Amino acid sequence: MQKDATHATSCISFDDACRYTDTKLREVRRLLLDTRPEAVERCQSELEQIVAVLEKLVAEGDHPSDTAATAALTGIQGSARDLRLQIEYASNLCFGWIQLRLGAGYSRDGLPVLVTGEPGSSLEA
Amino acid sequence: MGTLFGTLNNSLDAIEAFQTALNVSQNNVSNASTPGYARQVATLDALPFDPSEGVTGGVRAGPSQSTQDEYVNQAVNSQVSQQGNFTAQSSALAAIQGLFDVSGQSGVVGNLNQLFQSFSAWAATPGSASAQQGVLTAAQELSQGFQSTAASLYQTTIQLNQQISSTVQQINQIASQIQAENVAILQNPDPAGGVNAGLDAQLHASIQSLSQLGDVSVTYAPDGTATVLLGGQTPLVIGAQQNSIQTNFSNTTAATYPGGVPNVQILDANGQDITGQISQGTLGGLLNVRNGVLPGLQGSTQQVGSLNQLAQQVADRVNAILTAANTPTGAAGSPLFAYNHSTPTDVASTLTVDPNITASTLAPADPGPPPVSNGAALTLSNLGQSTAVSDEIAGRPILQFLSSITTQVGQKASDAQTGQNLASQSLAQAQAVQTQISGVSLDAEAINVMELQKGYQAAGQMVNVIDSLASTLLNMIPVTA
Repeated sequence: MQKDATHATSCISFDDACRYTDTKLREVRRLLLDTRPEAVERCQSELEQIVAVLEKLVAEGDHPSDTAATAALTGIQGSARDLRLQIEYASNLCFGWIQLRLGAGYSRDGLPVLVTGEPGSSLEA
Repeated sequence: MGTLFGTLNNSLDAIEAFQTALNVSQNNVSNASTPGYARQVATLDALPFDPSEGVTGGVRAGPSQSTQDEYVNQAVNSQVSQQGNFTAQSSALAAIQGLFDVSGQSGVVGNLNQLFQSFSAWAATPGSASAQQGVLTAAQELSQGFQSTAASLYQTTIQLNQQISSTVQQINQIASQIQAENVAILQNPDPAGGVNAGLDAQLHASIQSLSQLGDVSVTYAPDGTATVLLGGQTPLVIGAQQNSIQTNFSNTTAATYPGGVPNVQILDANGQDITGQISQGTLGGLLNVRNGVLPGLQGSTQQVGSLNQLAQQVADRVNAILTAANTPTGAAGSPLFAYNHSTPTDVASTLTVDPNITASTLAPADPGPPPVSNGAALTLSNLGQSTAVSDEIAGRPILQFLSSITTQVGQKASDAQTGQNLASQSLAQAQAVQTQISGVSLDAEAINVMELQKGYQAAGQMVNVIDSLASTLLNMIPVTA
């Protein structure tokens, strides 16, 4: 995946790479609303591609000094922060649920202890 | 014979059990898109097995179980509530923000800048009729600007009062609906002893609608009825009993400024003030602007308001400088502004140009010693930036004080907009998780949610890497001159 993304962006300009990254980040925010584990895996794959593109830009090192470039990178940071808030919220929500369902108190270090038992004898209709 | 009857009974139990399961399944399909509906799961209870006693085991239909997950429901309701709060704030603040132009070109900000510019032009040519007229025109426009801003703020107050009334009515209406649903749940229990899926769905949909209007917390009794508290303390519905809330727009108790607009109170069924308990939902957002932002600007029974402070300080200082100065003919100067001195919260709305002043009675000269022919006009042109204690408002020069009002209003509007976006995002995410949890089997859901949580953690770490790479790139960009 990383190789593909690097190849896909090997010839594009700095501006286009920034636009690509920002678009991908927005796409991941949308994708995260599908909470099937396979959809979350796809988000990870998209994020890997974004990392690959940014790493390539860092490696190239020669960047325009205009305000547009700064604005583009600031925009990427803004999108990344929005995405992080969304992910943190979803992660906390899931962890809270797990703790509520499977929590068995706290360890000596103050960490939540989870227990897993046999599934209940319910028959799903 | 006992065994034969036992076997027959078992068969009947089993048929009944699977019929129940089919009914539950049918219910799920029929209600797939019903708001508030959570999938029902049929349970089968194992029967005792003891052939020696003629008890031959088998299964019997147990009560159906709802997959309503109150933890996730509460998370969704909480986000709905936050979204309601920020949306209401954002909409109310947009109207106020327009009155304080950050560019300084229009409104009171523009008018005040124009007045200081006219003083500056007058200081350059104190005898010029057009410069004198410029001062009078700018003063006229400033007083109109203050009046118009005060009127707009009052209009916003009236609109917010109407919205608060309407929101309280809606809250009472939905609470009454929930009370009726509780009664229906008590009167129509599920024959198998579980939840009545249809009524349960209606109840959850009503609670979600209520969450948008206020911060509600809900607990469910074993019989399936809901107890709903507003602001965590005030009971709106307890089983079959509803308690209405009401508004009070005329509370003048312990008023420091009796002429000011009183804050809105929300009262419980016993007439107790519960305003402080409500911080979320549309009602929380409206109260935040109505009782927090607006009084800070236009004043209330408890404070003068920054717009009145500003209007009074400008009028008093300009008048003081002008009345201490002399006209070119040596006569004493006249005050430029007039306002209602009896009500400190009405200064902005009553500010006018003094009807007795004319271009010829404008006094530009500082009598000294030493006398300076344009001394007073010069002092007036610098009044906006003056750091003399007598010129400042709350320790700030006049223009800086005005700028801080503009910034505060803009910041609140921006915070509300950001909050609205974040709440929408979190709501969408909570609803997605809610769908996921209500849509999987009870046995599998814990595994799925754990997988999801691990996935989110991994994704979060990658976003940190992205943020860090973006920072590295920003640092690599050469700084332009």
